[in-house]
Amino acid sequence: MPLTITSEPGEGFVTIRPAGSLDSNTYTDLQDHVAAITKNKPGVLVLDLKDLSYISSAGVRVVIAAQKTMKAAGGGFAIVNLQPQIRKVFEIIMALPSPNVFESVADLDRYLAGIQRKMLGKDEA
Amino acid sequence: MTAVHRALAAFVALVGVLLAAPAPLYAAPTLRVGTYPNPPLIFRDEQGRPQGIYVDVLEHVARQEQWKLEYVEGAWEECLERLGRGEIDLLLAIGYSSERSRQFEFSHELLIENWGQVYALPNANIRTLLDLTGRRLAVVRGDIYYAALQSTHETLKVFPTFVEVSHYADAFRLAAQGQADAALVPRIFGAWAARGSKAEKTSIMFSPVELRFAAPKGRGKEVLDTLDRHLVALKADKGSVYHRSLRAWLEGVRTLNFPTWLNPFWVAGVVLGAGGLAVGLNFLLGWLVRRRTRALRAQMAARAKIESELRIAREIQLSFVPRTYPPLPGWEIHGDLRPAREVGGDFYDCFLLEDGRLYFALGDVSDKGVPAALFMAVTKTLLGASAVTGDSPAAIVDRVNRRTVLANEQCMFITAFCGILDPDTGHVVYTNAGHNPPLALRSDGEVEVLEHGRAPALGIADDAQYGFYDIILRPGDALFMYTDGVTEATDRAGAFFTDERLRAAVAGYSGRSAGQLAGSVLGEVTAFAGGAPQADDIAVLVIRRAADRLHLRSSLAEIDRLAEKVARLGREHALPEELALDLRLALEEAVTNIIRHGYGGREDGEIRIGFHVTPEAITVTVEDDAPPFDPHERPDPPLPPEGGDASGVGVYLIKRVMDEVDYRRNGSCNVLTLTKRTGRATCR
Repeated sequence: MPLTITSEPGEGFVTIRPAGSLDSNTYTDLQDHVAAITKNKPGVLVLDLKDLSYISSAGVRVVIAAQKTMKAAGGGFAIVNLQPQIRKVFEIIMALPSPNVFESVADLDRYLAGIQRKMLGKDEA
Repeated sequence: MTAVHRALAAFVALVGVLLAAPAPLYAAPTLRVGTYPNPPLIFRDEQGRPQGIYVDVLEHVARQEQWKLEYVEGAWEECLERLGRGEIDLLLAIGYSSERSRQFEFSHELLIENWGQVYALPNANIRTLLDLTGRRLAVVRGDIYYAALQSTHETLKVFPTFVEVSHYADAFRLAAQGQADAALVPRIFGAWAARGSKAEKTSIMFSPVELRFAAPKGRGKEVLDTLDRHLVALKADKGSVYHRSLRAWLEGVRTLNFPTWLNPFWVAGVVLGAGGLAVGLNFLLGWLVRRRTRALRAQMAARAKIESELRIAREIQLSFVPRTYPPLPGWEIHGDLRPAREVGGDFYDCFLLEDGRLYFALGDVSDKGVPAALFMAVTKTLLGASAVTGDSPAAIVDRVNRRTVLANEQCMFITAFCGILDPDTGHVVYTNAGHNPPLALRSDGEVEVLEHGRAPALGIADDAQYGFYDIILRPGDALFMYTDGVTEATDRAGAFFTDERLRAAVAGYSGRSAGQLAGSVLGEVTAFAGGAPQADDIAVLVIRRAADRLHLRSSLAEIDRLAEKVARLGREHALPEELALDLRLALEEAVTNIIRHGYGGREDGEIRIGFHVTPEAITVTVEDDAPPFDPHERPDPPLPPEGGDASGVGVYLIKRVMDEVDYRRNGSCNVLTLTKRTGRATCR
């Protein structure tokens, strides 16, 4: 089961969209992809899991690692569009980066807008 | 005549004497002669002196040839051994056979003809060879007639219980005293021993042999030639010691004491008459034996011919039933046919129909032997021909039944189980015409008896109604079809193998291939019989759906194959998507741990996964050959995971998504068994 990864830069954030199966055979692809993006220190890293059909602990570890990296760099991290089976795995091992898990793109947009406002306010101060 | 003349004459005379009788001047050869008690040919009299026809002849020759004789007495077998080792120079009264001629040197001239003769008490009820089966027959070790009987009793189907003794006299006494049912002795000895005994000559006589002299292999040729030369002369002269000895000893009287009042000429006449009578009787007996031997040989030849034809028939019959099976991926087929006699009435058959389905049948004709075999051939052919139409088994069987009823003057009938398998789904449609219900062995070891729809056997009623029933064979399930030769196999005490034993035996071999299942069950039947003869034909046919298995190398790249397999399993069994994903997750975690931690990244390890799906649950076994790894000994990882030991998270996930996680170490294997219940209602 292949994993295809696309990413899309936005205003102060980057969205990564892994699609397919994130398992012990494919997790390194995402790991590499995330490393390449966090190197450029985006303000917020967004994982859009809308098209992710499967995840195992190997995949969850990449997600946790990405979250840690962003936190260490003072950036934000968000997950959107968790499919039920993916959510189940995260929940079992209590790895959801709450509160930054969003059911929909609209919720995510509101979060991202807030972040942007904070960042703008910081700049003005 | 002067003194010189006298001295000269004396010298000439002395030379003449020396020339005329030179032998005593040389060392006279001493012949060590083997003797054994076989009156009246050779035996020791009350003073221990050797006596008998052979002794008369030998001593005559020895006198002529100035041989010294030293008799060495022993049991018959001992004599043979001594001759073999060269400890004696000559053995008397030995029957010639081509086998013995390879071990010993033989004289060529026949001294007397002998043959095997069975003696028994009149009430022993032994009249023909066949009567000897199961009876105690006293025989002498190393005896030529004993060997002859042993070499032919397989052909003649005569199986006495042999009681071996050392001497003919012992054998005869056992029979005469009723301690054996009969004795096998040489006819000459028998006639001697039967005087004054209750044991009588039976009509069983066989294997005429020529009694000759024998010497150790490679030496004694001169002695034997000399004996031959003398014998030819002795036989030619009716008044010779040979003929006198024969007449006297075969009469059973060594010497005749004439009462003084008896005219010696009359006595001589009587003696000659009796001798002539003896010789005449001897000729008559010889002729009788030759005639009987000829008849027996003809009988044996005819029998051998029939047996050879039956052996060929057996080969042909065994070639009727398939020995190689249609290639059917995911399925195993195995049949076995074991006729009780050379040929039998059981059969099985299977072949692929044009639409890819498998036709199979197993049946049993109500008889044994050749008639059953002929009927079996016809029925199997009719069923197969009827099956190619692709009709239901009921229609197939119905057609054959009506044909069989029409042409069945022998009133034979056939029980048969016949079915068609769809290899894609495992769906079997079957009809049972009066046959033993087959057994369905499920992959979990449960055995079901297919008792549905038993209709009359073929050939009984043309209006018999045949319905059809069905069963689904899932991966790991097997259909075990058999004939009653299996359940009615008997042990030495006559007890049956029984349905119960068969069910238990079959249940014990779940997880085995079709061939192993058939072979193991038949092995149990054979062990049960314990050497008791097979009473009935045996046929077995096993159709098994191979267990769902997946073999992976210890490489993370194999995770894709695992995912594909689980997805296919989910489709085949219409599993809910969530359940399939849980299964996939648990398996991936287990396999990843084995690859990473068990095999330590080595890629040449093997991981064997077996799937077992029932409506109630899915059970998966994961086997590997890595060092022991018990997931239950793993503490739960810190949550959320902080990195570090990754295997803990995998094990934790497995335990959370599966209903049961069982681990055991089996030899050098780790066996992890994962069970996920479907929550569906229990029904099959």
